[in-house]
Amino acid sequence: MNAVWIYLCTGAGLIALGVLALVREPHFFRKVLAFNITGSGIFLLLVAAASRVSDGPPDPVPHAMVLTGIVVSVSATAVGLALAKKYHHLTGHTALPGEEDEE
Amino acid sequence: MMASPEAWLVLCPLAAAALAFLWRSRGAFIGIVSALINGALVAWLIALMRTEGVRRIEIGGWSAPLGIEFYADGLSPWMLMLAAILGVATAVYARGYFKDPGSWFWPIWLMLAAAINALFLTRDIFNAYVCLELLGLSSVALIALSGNPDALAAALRYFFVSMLGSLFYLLGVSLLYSAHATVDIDRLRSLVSETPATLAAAAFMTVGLLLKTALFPLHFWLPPAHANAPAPVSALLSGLVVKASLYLLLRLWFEVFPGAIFASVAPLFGLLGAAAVVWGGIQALLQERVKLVVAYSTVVQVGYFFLLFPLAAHPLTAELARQGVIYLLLAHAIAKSAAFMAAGNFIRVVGSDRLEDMKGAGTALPVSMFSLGLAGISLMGLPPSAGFIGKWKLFSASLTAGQWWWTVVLAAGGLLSAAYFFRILSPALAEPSRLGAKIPRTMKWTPMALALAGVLLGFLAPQLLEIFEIGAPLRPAAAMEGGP
Amino acid sequence: MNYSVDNVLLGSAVLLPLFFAVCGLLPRMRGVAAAGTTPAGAAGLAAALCVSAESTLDLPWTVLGLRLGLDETGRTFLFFSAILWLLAGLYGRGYFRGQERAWLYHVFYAFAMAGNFGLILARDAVTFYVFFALMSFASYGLVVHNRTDFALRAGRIYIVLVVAGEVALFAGLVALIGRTGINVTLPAGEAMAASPAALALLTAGFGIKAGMLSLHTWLPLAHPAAPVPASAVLSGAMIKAGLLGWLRFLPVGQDGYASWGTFFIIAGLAAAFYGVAAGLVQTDPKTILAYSSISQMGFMTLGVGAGWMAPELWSALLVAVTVYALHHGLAKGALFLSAGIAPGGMSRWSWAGVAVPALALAGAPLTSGAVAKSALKYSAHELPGSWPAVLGVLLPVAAIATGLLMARFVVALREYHSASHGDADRRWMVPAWAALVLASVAVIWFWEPGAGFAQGTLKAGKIFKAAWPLLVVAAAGLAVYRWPPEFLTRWIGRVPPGDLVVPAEAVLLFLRRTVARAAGRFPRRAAPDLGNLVDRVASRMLGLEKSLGVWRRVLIVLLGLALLLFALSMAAAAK
Repeated sequence: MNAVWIYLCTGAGLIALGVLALVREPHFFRKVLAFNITGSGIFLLLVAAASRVSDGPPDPVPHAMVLTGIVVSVSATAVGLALAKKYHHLTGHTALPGEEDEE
Repeated sequence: MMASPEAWLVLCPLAAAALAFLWRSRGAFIGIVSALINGALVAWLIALMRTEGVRRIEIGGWSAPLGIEFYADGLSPWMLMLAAILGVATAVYARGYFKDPGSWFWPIWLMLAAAINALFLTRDIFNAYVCLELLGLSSVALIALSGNPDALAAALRYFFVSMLGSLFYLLGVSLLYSAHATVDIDRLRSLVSETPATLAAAAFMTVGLLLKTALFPLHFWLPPAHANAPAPVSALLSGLVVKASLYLLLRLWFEVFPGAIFASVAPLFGLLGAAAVVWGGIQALLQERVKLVVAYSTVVQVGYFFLLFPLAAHPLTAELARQGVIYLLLAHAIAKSAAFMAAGNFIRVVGSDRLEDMKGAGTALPVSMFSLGLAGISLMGLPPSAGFIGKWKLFSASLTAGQWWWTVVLAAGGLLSAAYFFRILSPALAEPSRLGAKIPRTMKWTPMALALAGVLLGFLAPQLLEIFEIGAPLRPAAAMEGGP
Repeated sequence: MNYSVDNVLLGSAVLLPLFFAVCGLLPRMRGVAAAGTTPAGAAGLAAALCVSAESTLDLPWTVLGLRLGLDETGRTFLFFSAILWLLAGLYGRGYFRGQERAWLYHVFYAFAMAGNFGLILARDAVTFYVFFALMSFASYGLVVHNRTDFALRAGRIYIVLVVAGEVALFAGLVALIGRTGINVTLPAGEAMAASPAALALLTAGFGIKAGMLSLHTWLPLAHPAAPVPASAVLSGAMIKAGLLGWLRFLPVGQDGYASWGTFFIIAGLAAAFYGVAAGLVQTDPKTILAYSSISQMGFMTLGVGAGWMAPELWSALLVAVTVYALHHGLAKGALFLSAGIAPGGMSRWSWAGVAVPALALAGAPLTSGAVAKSALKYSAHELPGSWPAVLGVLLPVAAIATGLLMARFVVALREYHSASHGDADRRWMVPAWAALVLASVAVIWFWEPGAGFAQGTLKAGKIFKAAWPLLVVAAAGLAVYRWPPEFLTRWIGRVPPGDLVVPAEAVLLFLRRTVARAAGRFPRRAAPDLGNLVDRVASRMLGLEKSLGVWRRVLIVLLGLALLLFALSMAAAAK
């Protein structure tokens, strides 16, 4: 079970890190990166769940879900970056209006 | 599979989206045809369900957990019907609104339609996540459509909110899967118990969805997003998209999570809902822009929906409250999109979105004025509108349950909405001014048709609610019925 | 063949006014609405005259499945309502000449007309309700048409009562439909018997329209505030819709409602006397007429109550009440229209045109009033208990009182100057008014249910019986003429128009001032007025809202909420 715990703890750590960064970092790029990290953490949890079948081959369903999840997050990243780039191009800002002032 | 409307309901808009993307100059045509086909498919599904009852379809012959299943009980066709009505109306309105028939609106909107249809048909919480993401991303793109900095900022804010909400939801899904090795709603329902893992999953998924539903105090992103989008997009976002995450939340709390915890969490939802009604109403009164007033009214309406939880926790009033909220969903979808479209017409003619500039707009656009008034009647909950039926049922449910304080919330919400609608209507009714801009006929009459439908639907309540009651959806787990 | 002609007539009575109203909404066709009131009103009249009793028009393809048709009661109501709408429409074409906003008036007028015709023709409960609501809401536009402060205040009070009435009606309808299903055919008396809640709600809902006492407050404000031709249809035709609602929905004429009968009789008598008393001290002739309408509706309420108390008399009483509505509708409409003529100068003939309907309302012999009153009295003699004796005294007294009120109206009309603007075209107004006066005199002798009673009143004895209260009035009228109205206020007291609403408004104003004063005392340092306080609270609220959207707080709120949910559910699980 040790390997599973490593997955779980890493996953939890990544999620915490990602959520914190998503909220704290004003820069668009860091925000996009942050939700990718959070997503990776959740995927790790799911991968760990595959081993819950104690004997025999691991459960394939979580792997399928993680693959789907990766596709989703790639497209989301693309949308986010495209928007951020356009916004930067128009206004010169790299963060949302209210947020720069806080830093 | 050929004979199942469910599969076509997803495939058809998806194919239309691809087609509209490739053949952009004919986007408007493809969009309208697709919306009409969508309406026919929903009618077909409802007709089938009236004879067969609940339907369950395995796509491609693969059964769950690996394959994808479509499932439809009464709540699904109800939501699909809502989406279909708004789909046709938005398509007709948007054809006039976007002067360029090759606008990006069409492919993105069709993508959104596919995602939302799939969400209302799935019985699998992971699939629901994928649909939710697709829905969120297409909404983001639609908000950014106008391309000005305000719209882009609103879109980015919405994007991050949507991501945060989805991630919380996905976290809950993975916890539930770890605990029970399934993502099927029916299987989960029989497996879940009050273990910490399940309860943590419930908490994560709930807050994620609350954020997406914009329940007070998580509503901050909604007004700028809905107010900065083009009018047909605002109509869709407020009328439909907000209800997608709400739909999932209802499914989860009534059909997945253990009934024993429902009664203790329900008052919290009720309290937040009541706060949303009051706070949203006050904010709507304070806004200076027409679309912000209408958008805050969505915050208010979302609050009403959450009164379902405390009232459904009481066995005597569960049915009344369920029907009331279901009818409010319909009433709000129709009236709110009518209101946004009518407001869009004013803004197009006046050239500004500020309340003080609206003087005389009503004389220039009497039809839009009238539609906004009718939509207001339904949103305030005056008879005979659909909104009245919903509120009336909630009202009698609160009295029957002995929870009279919700009636105060309902009454306060009605008064506040009367006040803020008056704020829009009274300058618009003032002395006529010379306003030149012309708007296409479809843009004038679409909100009118919607608003009229919203008022007249009050009369069809018994017949329509028959559709909703097919397969008895949203019945809480047995443990709750006998619970405290 | 005949069947299809009937259908066209029934349909056009509702659809023509709707069509012209919608036309008026289109910028290029604004003029059509004004011209359209004439054919639309004529369509209603044609339906009342030509449609045979058995024919109904089913429109199942409409959302609600409209069903239209005409019975004998409906025919009379449609007949006098259509005359009023038609003639007041013609009058309006002159009255509003040259006014820029006139098209808006005509649009509302046409919508209200469609509602009024539709509710009379409705054969099922839902159709009735829809058209009733259409009429009520559209006539708001008529009440506030002048946009003066007075009109806007009257409109506010009117719309509050309309909405309250709509809520009561719809709730009553929902209660009724809950028992019987959506298809409630009219008259719905038998179905209603099942639901006392529906009974009370519908009584109150229609009572507002019919000016039932304590629900009447909109009437003396809205009628004078509205433009002259609108007042005529409001008072002549639209308030009768409340009466028709009672006739259609309440189980009048069925056994077991004696206490409801007593309630209606007492309410009717109270309104009859109160309306006169409050009207006598008014100075505006249109306000006087409005109070007179409250008083006259009281007689009709009394008729309904008598039918409830003595079901065996109901078939006779129904005819009596219908004839009364016919008489009052036309006479009151004619009097209201004269209020727009008087300021422009009146010839001797014109004064005769005022006097005839005024005498009719007072029940003078050979007028429609005498016919209507004798019809009502005839049945009152047969009531059980001591009612015949009580009514035998009170009804003549009420007739005298009405006579006095009419005398007061004529006096007030002589001193009346406003209500018409400079461009008004009397070439439309005077003929329309004259036609209505003639109709009010003549119609009762020809119209089937009235004619039967009319023959009876021609006997010499009856003529004298009807005349003696009038002799009293003549003497008293002289007194009113000599000492107006200070003499009366000494006896009755001052009654502001809208009576009950005025103290209610005063209470609200007092509360607002008190709050403002208290608020002024509270923040010593700031400017001590309420507006400033509101501004500060508002900006505070907006600030709070903004702070909810700060990203960093979002996470705290989100995690806090998750924790709260988790704790709540853990606590429930532990139980």
